[in-house]
Amino acid sequence: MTSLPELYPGFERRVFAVDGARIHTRIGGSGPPLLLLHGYPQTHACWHKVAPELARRHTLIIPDLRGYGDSTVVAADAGTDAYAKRVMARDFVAVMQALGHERFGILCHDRGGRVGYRLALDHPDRVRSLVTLDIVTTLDAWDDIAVDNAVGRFHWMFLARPAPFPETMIGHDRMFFLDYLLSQWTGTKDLSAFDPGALAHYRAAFSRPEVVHATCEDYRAGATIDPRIDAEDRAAGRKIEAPMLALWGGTRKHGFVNRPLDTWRPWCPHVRGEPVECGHFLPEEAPDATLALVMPFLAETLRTG
Amino acid sequence: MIDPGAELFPGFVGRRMHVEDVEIFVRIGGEGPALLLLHGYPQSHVMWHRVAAEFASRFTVVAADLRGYGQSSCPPTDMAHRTYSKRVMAADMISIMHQLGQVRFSLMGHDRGARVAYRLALDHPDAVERLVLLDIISTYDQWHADNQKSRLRMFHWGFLAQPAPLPESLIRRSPVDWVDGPFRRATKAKSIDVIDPRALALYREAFKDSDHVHATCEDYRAGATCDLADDVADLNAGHQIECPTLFLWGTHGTPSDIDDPMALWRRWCRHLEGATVDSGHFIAEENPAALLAQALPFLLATSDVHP
Repeated sequence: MTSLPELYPGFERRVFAVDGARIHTRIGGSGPPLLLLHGYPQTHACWHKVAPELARRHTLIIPDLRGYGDSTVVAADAGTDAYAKRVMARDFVAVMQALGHERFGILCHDRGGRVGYRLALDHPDRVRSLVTLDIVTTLDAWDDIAVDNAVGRFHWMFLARPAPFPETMIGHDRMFFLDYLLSQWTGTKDLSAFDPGALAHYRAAFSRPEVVHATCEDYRAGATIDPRIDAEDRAAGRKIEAPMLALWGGTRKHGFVNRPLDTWRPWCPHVRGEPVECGHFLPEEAPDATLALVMPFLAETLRTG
Repeated sequence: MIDPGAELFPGFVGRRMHVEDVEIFVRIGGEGPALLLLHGYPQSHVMWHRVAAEFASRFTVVAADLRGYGQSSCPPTDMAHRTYSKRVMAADMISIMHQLGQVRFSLMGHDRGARVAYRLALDHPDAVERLVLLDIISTYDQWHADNQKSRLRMFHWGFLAQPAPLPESLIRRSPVDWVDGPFRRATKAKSIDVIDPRALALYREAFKDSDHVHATCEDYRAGATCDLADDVADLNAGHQIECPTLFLWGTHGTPSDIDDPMALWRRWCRHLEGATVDSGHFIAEENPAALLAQALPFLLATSDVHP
């Protein structure tokens, strides 16, 4: 890991022991705290293009989700529930608490986005501002898997199959699988959006069988406990209280992204948002356009004092 | 040319037939009215080996390998996946049955072969005397199944329909694991032991060939595109399967996740009967006696709905 390109020069590297996991983070910048949560099949590296600008106004805490990158699940017998978004959200409450950040903003993408909205629902007093990139809730996403997007979202079913089946299949050629997903989900259907340094991080993580297993567990939780918890919240009428901005990739054709605000509104009546002209990976495909929407929203919602 | 699998069908003959440039392998045996048997994924006509002799005592049995499977050839694919559509596969079967002098026949299909079978019955209503569908709901209904369990079980539909060469690349690295997977997951016993080792060896062998791996992925790409479109067109047009149809599904089979699979088929079939069989997905190999007990009387019954 030490030989990987430095994508966050000047940022501290800290590891936090939380309940059941060791969370690797990069920390830098100054201003109100902002937690950046990456998605699949990536690592904390995905924020490197937007971090310098964000760091001018915010203290950035940039972790790897448990099981991803350099963050590990400690318990050897940890089952799928150890990858529940509720559990992952607790990781970051603990990390932020350890850093003395009682309240903070969250900018989150993909799987990290699921952790981010879960944190906002479970710990409303912690979250001052929530920005989600290219997601709707896990429950809504399952409800929305339909004939026009089931092929596009095959990995939700594939990765959720019992171990070790997807692990074995992916294990036959991990780099091919990684590169395929990364390119398939961009607007340009290739790897051109990804910085070679960031790709080196993604490939280094994905080359480790334990990371591939953990990411499958993430999706198994996403097929079982995560939507169950979402359904409980929906039934109880729980809402996201924090100011919320939902952005999504405008070139994506997958069902829900054509109407994400309608899908978010029952969870967060005051949600705002719009598409960014790119595929799934907003912070890497369209960092400037993403910043142009995220910075004013954070300035407005994370004002000090 | 060697004919692997011949030993599993004593008294049957293997024939390589041609539909334009496509070679279709068939195994033929028995006497009586014609009965065409169509296998599923990841298999070949060999899957019928435990019931073929019994059917052959009453019927002229024609057990075919679908294009892209078993000993049949793998024609080059096209961007629209039409080459491996169920409509084109059904046309293959019409052609070989005509070449065999059979213009009207009964038809039993399992899994992908059942999709070819119901498509054949819709596209060529005059050709089909009686139809038996094993352990599927229609392609349209499966894609529209609003059921988490069924979706997870059918993960391979999305996986195999990914653009080439994703599934091909992963399957080619370990064809044996891949072929064994459905038997481990989808048999009632959750065990590969219910499959005859000689049959299993043949299923595995076919998937060691890259062309067959690609062709069978194309079958599923067609399933996600043109097959689905063909189903939608028939539903919109109100087309139905005219012949008597028997739908059998495993108590632990694919449609068992669905609340009322009979109701789904009723929309497609004018004359439908149905029953469950104590089995997983691979009925013909898991519980051949129950399949024969259900299917033989149905196939032997005299049609009262046709002139």
